[in-house]
Amino acid sequence: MTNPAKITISKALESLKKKEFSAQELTKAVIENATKHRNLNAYITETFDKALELARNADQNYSQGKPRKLEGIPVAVKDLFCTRGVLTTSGSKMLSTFVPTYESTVSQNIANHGTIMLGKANMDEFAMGSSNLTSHFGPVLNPWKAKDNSADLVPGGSSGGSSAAVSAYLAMAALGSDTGGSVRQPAAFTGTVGMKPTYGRCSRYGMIAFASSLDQAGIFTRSVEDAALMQEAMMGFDEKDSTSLNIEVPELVSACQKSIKGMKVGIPVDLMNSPGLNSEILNMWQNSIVMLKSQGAEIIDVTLPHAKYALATYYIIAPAEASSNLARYDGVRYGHRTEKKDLNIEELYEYTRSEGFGTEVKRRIMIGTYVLSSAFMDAYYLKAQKMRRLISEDFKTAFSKTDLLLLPTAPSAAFAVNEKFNDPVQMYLNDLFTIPASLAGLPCISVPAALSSKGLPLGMQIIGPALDEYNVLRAAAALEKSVSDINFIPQGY
Amino acid sequence: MITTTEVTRIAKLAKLNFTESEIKTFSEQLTNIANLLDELKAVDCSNVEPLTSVCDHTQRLREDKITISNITDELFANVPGTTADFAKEIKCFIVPKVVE
Amino acid sequence: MKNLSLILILYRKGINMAHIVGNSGNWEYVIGLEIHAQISSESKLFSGAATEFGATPNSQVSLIDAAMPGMLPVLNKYCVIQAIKTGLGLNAEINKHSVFDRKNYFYPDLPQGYQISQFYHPIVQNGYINIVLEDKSYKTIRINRLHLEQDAGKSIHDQSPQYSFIDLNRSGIALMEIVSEPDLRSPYEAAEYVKKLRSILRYVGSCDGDMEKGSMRCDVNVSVRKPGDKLGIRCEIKNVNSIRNIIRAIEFEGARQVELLESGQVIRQETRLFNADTGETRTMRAKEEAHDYRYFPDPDLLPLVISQELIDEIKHTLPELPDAKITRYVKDLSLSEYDAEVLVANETVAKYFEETINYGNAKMAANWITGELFGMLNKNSIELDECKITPAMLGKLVKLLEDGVISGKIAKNIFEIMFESGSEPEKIIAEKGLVQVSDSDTLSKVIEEVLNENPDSVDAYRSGKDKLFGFFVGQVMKKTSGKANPGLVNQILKEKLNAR
Repeated sequence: MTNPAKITISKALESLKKKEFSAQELTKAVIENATKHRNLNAYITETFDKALELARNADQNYSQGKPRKLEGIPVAVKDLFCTRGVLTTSGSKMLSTFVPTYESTVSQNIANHGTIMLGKANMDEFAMGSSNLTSHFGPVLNPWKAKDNSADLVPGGSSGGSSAAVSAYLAMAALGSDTGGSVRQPAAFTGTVGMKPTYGRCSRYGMIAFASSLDQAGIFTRSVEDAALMQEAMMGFDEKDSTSLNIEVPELVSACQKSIKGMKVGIPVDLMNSPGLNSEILNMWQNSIVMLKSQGAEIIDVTLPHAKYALATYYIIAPAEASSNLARYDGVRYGHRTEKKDLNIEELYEYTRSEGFGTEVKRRIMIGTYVLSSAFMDAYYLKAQKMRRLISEDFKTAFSKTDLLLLPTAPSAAFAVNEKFNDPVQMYLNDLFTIPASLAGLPCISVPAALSSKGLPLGMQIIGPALDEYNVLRAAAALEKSVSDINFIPQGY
Repeated sequence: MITTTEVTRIAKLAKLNFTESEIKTFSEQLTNIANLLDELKAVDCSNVEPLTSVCDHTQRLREDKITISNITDELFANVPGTTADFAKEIKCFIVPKVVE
Repeated sequence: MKNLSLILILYRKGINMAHIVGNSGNWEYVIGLEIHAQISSESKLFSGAATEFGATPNSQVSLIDAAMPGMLPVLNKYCVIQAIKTGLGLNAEINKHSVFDRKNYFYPDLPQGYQISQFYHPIVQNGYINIVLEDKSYKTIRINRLHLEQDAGKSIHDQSPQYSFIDLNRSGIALMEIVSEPDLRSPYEAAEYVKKLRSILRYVGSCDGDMEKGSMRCDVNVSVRKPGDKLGIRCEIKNVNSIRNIIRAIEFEGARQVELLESGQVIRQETRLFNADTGETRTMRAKEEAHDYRYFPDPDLLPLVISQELIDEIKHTLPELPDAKITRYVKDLSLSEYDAEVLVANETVAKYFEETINYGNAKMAANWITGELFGMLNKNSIELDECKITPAMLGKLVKLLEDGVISGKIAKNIFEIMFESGSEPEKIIAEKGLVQVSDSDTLSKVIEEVLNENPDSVDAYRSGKDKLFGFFVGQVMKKTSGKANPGLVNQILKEKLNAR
C-alpha cells in the first residue's frame, strides 16, 4: 500500500471515506516522517499530541458519516499565523515566548473544515527573506540536493518551513504567506505547488503583519487540485479585516479538470528578453509555452513595461509598512524584553528591539524609516505608490488582450545555504518575477515545470486578473499534466 | 549617499541601537539599497495618482456596539520581564519611569 | 522661576486686544487652539471595547487596542457620523473622501508605535465659529480642520519612584481633533472660543465637553509679536485642563516670551506643560526631540467615502445650534442679546426656556430663569434637571403674573414654595388664597381704612412728608396679606390722599 503520507489530499480524502486507512493512521504516518526528518528544521513547534487527538475526532466523524470537507488532513501552519495556545514566533527572537490567546481567521477556517495542525512551520524572521536563512530558529534545509553536490540548499523564503514540509511529506499541505513571493518562490525551489490568491480573498486577521498592503495567506500542496481544495477552505469575507473582500468564495476544484483550449496566454516578452536570464530558466519557459500551446492555448506576446521598476517599488513600500507594523514590538506587553537593568524608557525600547530583531529585519526597518522620513517621503514612498499604479495598469492592459500570463517563478534554482551574498540587493533579486503580481494584488501560482541540469526543481508562474483564481488553477493544472512524467519527489523521500 | 550621521538619525527614530562598525556597514548597505531605489527617478510620474491599496472597495463601517468585555487576563498573559508578576497584580503595564 | 512682575498684561477694552506691555512697547498675542474632543460613542474608534470613564485599569481594552500581533482596525460608523455632525455645526466643509494616516512615534501610552489619525485628507475642513467679545461685538474664528484619530492610553508617572504604569482603557477611544487658525488675540478670546466650541459639541451631542474628566482637552499654541510684524515662533502648551488654566497659561507664556525676546533671546519652538499650582509653563522633556512622524496612509484601512445623501440625512438630524437660537430669541422673542446668550450657553437651559414660553411671556420667562431660578439653583447647589420646578410650572407662574392675578412679590413667594414642594402655582395660590386683589372697590375700602386709622400720618403727608406714601402702601399690603395690586393701590391711594 502506498504510504498514506505520500499521497495527495484529494486521494487521501477518498481513501479516508473508503476506510482504506484511518485518520489516525494517516496522521501517525505523517508524524513519523516529520520525526524522521527533523534535520530539515521545518517545524519550530510540533503539536503532535494534539494532532493525534484531533485525528481521533476525525475518525469519529468519519465513522458517523459526517466528515467535513478536509476531515483528517494533516497540515503545517507557517509560524506567523497566530494559533491559540500554541507558540507563535514569526521566526523571531522577539516573539520566541509569545503564545497567542486568539486564532487567525485563516488557520481557523481550515481547522473548521477538519484539517489537523501538526505544528508551526519555520520561516524567515517576520517574513522578510527569500531563503529562510534569517530565522532565529535556524535555517530550513531543502529536501532537494543537487545531483553532484551534497551541499545543503535553501528551500526558499520566507515560507521555507512550509515548503520543505510539503516537499518532504512532513505535511500534506502547509499554510504560508506571500508578500513579495514568499509562497511562490519556495514552491519553485522545492518542487511543490504554491498559490497566492487575490489580495483580500483571505483574511489577514491574526496574521503577524509584515507589509499590510501586500501580505496574503497562501498554500503549499503537492498538486494543483489540492491547492484548489485548500484555497476554497481558506478564503472568505472576514468583518474583522477592513481589506477583506466581501464576495462569495468561488468553487475551484472543477477548474483543474477544465481544458485550456482557446485560452489566451500572455508572455511578457520584455522580461523574457532581460539580459542575464538563466538559460535553463529560459528553456523551461519556452518548453512550458509549447506545452500549453499543445493543449490548445493561444500564445500572445505582451509587455509589462514598468515591471523593471517593481523591485525598487517593492523595496520601498514593503519596508515602509514593515517599519511601522513592527513598531509595536517594544517589550512592554509581550515578546522579548531586554534584561539590562537601570534603563530609561528610550533605552528599554532600543535594547529590546536591537536584541530581539535579526539583521535583515533591522535593515528593512531602517530602509522603511528612511523612505518615509520627511525629507525623502516624496522621492521614495510617494513615487513608489505612483509606480505601483503604473505596474497595476500594465497588468490591466495585458489582461485586456489575454486571460493569463505565463513566466518563471524564480530566476534560478535553489542556492546553497552557505552561498555568499556580498550585498543584500543580490538576495532581493530572487523576487524579481514574483514581486510584480504582489504589487498588483493578483492571484498567482507556481507549478513545478522542469528539473535543472543539476536535478533541482524549477517552477513556472501563472498570473491571472483579480479574482480569477479559477482560471489560474485551470492553466496550472494543464501545465502540471504536461509535466506529469517528471518526478518531483526529492531523492530519499 | 546615506552617511553614518543619517544612519544614526534613522536608528534613533526606529529605536534601534548599533555599534559603530554596524553603523558603518549599514551606511554602505543602505546606500546600495538607495541606489536601487533611485532607479525610480528615471520615470516621470507627475500625472499618476498614487495607489495606496489594490482593493476596489472603500472603508467599511461597523455598528457602535461593545463586543469585547473585560479581557485583562488575556492582555497580561504574555507580559514579559522581571516586572511581569507585579504588572499582573496591579493590572497595569510597567515601564521605566518616564519624566515629562 | 523668572520674575515677571515687570511685564504687565493689559486688556484694552474697545479694541478687544490684550496687549502685553513690555519694556520695548506693546506686544500682541497670537493664539491658536487644538482641541481634542472625545466622541461619546459606546465603543472605540477602531475596536469594540467599551469607553466608559473611570473603569478599573486595563478592563476596557481589546486585543486591537493593546496592539497584539495580527490585530486589525475596523471603523466605527457612529464616530464618523459625529464628526460630520460636528463639522456641520462648525459651518465647515465635509470631505466626502478622507483617509486615515499613521502618525509614527514611540511612547509607552501608544501600544501600536503609531497613532491612527488623518493627516493629508481630514474628514472636515474650513469651518468657523463666532465668539462674542467684551464689547459685545462678534468675531469670527476660523477652523482649519476637524479630523478623527485614536486617543492614547494613560501613563501614570507618580505612583512609583522607579516605574511608570500604563493603563490602556483610553487607548483607541475616538477623538475629534479640532484645529483653529491662529485668529485669537487674547486669553479672553481663547476662553470664549473654548466655551463656544464646547457648547456646540454639546448641542450636536458628539462630545460631553467635560474638561475635568478629560473628554475635552486643549493644546494651546502661543506666540507674540509687535503689532504689524510677521508671526513669531510659537510654543505649544499641552493638555491645559480648564478654561481658567487656559487663560493663566496664555498669560504666563505671553509674558515669558516677551521677556525672552526683549532680552535679545530667541524663542525655541517647543512643547511645554502648564503647572496649575505655580501658574507657569515649562519645557516638556520627553517630547523635546524634533519629531519626524512619517505620516503615510494606513494600509489596514481604506479611504472613507461619504455620500451627499448621508450628509443631508445628518443635516436634518442637527438640532438648532447656539447661534441660530440666539438670532431667533432676539428677533422673534425680543430678548436682549445678552439674555439670549446666557440662555443658549447651556442646551438644557435653552430647552427649559423654550418649554416655559409655551405657557408664559418670553421676556419675563427669560428674566425669571436667569434671575430667580439660577439664583435658587446656585444657592442650593443643584442642577437644573434636579429642580422641582418644571418649565410648565414656571411658565404658568409667569402667565399668572403677567395677567395680574398675582403681584410680583407674591410671585416670588410662590416661586420659593414651588421650589421646595414641587406644587403647581395654581394649587399654591388656591391653598393660600394669594390671588391678587385688583378690585377697585375692595381696595378703595381697605385704603380708606388705612387712612382713617392713621390720621396723623395723613396730615404729615399732606404737609409735605412724601415718604409716608410708602408707609400707607405697606399698611394696605399688610391688611391684604400682600395681595393688593400695587399699581392700583398707588393709583387709588394717590387719589384719596389728594382728595383729603
